Amino acid sequence: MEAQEQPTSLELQRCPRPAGAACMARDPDDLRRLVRCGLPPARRWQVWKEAVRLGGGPGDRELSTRYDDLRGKSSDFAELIEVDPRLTFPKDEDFTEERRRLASSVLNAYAIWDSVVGYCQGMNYLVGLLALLTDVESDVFSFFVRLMQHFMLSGFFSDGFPLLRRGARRASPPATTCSSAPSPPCTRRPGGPPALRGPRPRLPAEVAPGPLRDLAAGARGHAALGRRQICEGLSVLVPATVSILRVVGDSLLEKPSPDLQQFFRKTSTIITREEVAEAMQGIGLIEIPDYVTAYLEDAGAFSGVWERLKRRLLPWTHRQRGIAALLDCEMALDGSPPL
Amino acid sequence: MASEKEKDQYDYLFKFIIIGDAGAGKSCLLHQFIENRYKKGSSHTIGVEFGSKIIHVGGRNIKLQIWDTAGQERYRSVTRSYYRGAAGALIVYDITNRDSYNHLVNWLQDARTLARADTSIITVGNKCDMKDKRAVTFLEASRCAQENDILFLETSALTGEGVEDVFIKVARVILNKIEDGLIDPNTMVSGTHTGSQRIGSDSGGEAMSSKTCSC
Repeated sequence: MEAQEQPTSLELQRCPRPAGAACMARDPDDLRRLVRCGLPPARRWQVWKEAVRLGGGPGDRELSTRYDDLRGKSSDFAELIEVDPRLTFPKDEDFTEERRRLASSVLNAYAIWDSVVGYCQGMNYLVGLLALLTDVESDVFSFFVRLMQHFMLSGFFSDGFPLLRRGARRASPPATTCSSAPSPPCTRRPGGPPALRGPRPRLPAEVAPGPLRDLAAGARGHAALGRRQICEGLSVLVPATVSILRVVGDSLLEKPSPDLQQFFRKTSTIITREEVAEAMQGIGLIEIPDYVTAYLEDAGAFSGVWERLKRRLLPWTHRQRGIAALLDCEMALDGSPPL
Repeated sequence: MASEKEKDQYDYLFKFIIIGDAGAGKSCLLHQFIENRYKKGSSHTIGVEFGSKIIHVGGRNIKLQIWDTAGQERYRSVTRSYYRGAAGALIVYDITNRDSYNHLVNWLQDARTLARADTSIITVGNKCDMKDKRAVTFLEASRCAQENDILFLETSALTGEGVEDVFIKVARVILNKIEDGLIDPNTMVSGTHTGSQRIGSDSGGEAMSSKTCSC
């Protein structure tokens, strides 16, 4: 495929496009697949908003106005809320002081707005995550309200943790007499995530943990799930990246060279030769335009690996449809291409 | 493998709980004790976390099972179930935060109500490295501890100052109670448990032994 045949970002913006929600409704399976691939950070917030039906309707506007009233006011939990954002994602450099302030402000406003739930530690992670995606405070507030009220997350944070307890009861096997054997070594690595394998700790009766014991097993399950998603995600990440490059390559090439170099330097540190080779197993062939090949070779991001990639790429698979849907969706959201 | 087994052998197992206001440094204290280093970038505890370590006290290998609880009031409905059967309780406050010290009485009441009457309790003034921000004097906290008949020490989870001493001090008190017959280590609710190692092989001295896991 010739580089000249590729639509530029300007041309993409002029294309007729469906509304974001309609796009998502049209092919939810594709969207689900795309979400697993990883939505481009710049578009993530818009897709998330669509997912919770936050689209500037009368109710949303009212919430936004309400937030403006509440902003800057101090809740009963102000002291704790002041501390917790500093303990939220402490190792994440992107969670800057400004984002922490945003999270504090939204949490304070929510604690006043919903006096029954108020503030509970754990909510800071949710708001922190939202604050990483946008810097529009009223949007974060409205989104959080939507999650807590419409998606019932408030049940995890209300006094007595009704949803947590319900989950624990469902996960717990019938009460049994605990073993008197000593506890085995903890399966969790120091400073790391919970171990993925290993026997579940069994504790002597007199030191048996309380109702959350089975949630520990649940946490390990989540870790395993996360790992699986990451591994599988890589196999779709590479073709997705290439496909996106295929579409937006022209606009990328127009950017100053240092930015591009930085982008690919970052990419090359994440994807090692072995990881790529592993990821290539099962990857469908992607039609790679010459200019993308040339660009990648110039950037030197994949060096020898790139040649191997080209040889091992197999025919297009269903993933192509997913990528196409993503691009449609991306354009539908604000008219600009991804990246 | 044999050496691993030996490492995990102990004479007694004691259950400890760590309680106190949010942000007092409970998790950092536990991490410093287990790992001998400060937990940088620590986030607050949701619910309860767990760690264990074998220490050597009075010629005995003692395995400490330590439950680190969330400090926020709302989590007390969850953490209260962990008090039962605790042989030792660490009530941690932040020496730079007067409120966390003022709440000691509430935590002490919780410990005495929800744990056993003979639970050994120590109050821990953490962050003692932050001398210029001190809001609670050593003397004041020490007197309070005396009045309430509990132990007291100041620590710094950052530098490690006093951290091991806290756990050793409480473990020694519990061990003395066992040896004096005040606690029966074979009683299920005592928070103590006779271990897998044959009791009687005194080696004397006190030194930290092996850690088995961390949170």
